[in-house]
Amino acid sequence: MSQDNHVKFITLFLCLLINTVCFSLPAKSVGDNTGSTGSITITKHANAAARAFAAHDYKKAKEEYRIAIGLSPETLEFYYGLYDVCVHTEEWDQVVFALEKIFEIDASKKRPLLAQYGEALFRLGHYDDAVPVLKQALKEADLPAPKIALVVQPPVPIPEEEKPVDPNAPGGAASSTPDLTVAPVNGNLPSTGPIPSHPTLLAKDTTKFKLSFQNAAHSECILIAEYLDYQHNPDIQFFHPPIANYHITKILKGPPLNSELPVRYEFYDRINNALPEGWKFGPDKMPKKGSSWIIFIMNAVPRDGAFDTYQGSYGRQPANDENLNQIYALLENSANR
Amino acid sequence: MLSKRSIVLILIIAFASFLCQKQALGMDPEVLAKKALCHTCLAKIYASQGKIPAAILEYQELLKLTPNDAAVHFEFATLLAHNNKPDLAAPQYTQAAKLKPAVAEYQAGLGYALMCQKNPDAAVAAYTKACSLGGKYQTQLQNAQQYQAQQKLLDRYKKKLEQQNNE
Repeated sequence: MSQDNHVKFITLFLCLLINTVCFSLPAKSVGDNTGSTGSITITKHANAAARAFAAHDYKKAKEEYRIAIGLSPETLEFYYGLYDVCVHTEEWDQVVFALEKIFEIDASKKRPLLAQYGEALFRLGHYDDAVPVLKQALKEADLPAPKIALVVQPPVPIPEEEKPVDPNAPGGAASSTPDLTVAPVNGNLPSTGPIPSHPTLLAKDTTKFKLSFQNAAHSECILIAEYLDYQHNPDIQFFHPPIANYHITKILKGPPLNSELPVRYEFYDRINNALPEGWKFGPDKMPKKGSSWIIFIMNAVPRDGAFDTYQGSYGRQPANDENLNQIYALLENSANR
Repeated sequence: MLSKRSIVLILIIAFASFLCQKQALGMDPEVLAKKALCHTCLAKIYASQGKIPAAILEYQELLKLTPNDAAVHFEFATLLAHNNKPDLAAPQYTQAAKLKPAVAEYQAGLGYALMCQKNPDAAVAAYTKACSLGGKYQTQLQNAQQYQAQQKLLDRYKKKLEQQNNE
């Protein structure tokens, strides 16, 4: 009798063991290794985007993702975030853009995302393009969707061209010592190669053409401000500019100035300062009220009640995506040193 | 020491468990959703391009994946109805109304299907329900009621004719 019980117990135990080992659900594939967060500015924008997305503020999330993309255009996660947001807002052209960039950065992501790509093409009305994509997606449907978390890789510095190695020099071609002049990132040793260079605030542009963001970024104050109006005066001339009133919306660099910013609105930069023929002042010479500008102020001390901008008119740049991306990148690279 | 009989028994039980689990689990929901998305998009593309047989095939594949989706049944039925296939549309409308009886549109579709099947009594009931659910199908309801009344007249006439013939 006890032997029968023994057999029954073993039988039951083996059944349970086989069920557990063989037929339990397979572990989900782990997500891609996405590295850790990068710089302060990029992290700030990435976090702001994620928070906005969680709060269903898709417009803000999209803006933040676009800024993050401008700062780090090779980061896959940002395009994925943009894709996610635009699916919610049904901006299918942006969905297609984001997916195509993802495929460009990492071709292995194409197959698992084909269905979504096909849907976006269908929504855009690109039926001829959508059909083959959807058919292929049906074949690849068993592939799990890529797990892309929203964390950031630091921006990859642009390497200089490699100099030819002199095999006769000591430690030349035969040397395999890694280049340790590049600071390690998150404990990982850098790959071998020459010291990369990237635009920083410490490197001034020494070309003759001094009107550049690189130089302008040395200003004491860099602000984003909204143009309100100018102080009307019958004496306004080309070389006697008006005082324009701005409202500071964001201080990118410099001391906390008063939000109401009077600026000497010069009509020329210090290089091209010839009076144009037939020039006459009028409201058309002033910007549109409410427009947004990046203001570079060399010295954060007003002169005769108004601030002077960097190189006159050059120190006022439209606050569009391209300019903002440039200035953010310059400020970020300076902060990372 | 286990006997051969015990080992065979263990293996049979284990295999049976595996089959049960597989049936319960079915397709991975992610895979299912992806395939359903592809078939939906393809069906709509083909329908818009006038490639009706291809669209029908896509809907059929889609219904294999999502047999309890009333909206898919309804869309498929509408495609069939618009392409002169009322006999094929009718069961799809019926299924859509059965799965979601509280949707006025589906009841109206059912009414259409029943009219196609020459069942005005049931069609009137379906259209009445569609109107009570807030749909604007008064015209269809009136038509069905008129057809119903005419059908009754016809039946009475046939009965009379039969009686006369028997006499």
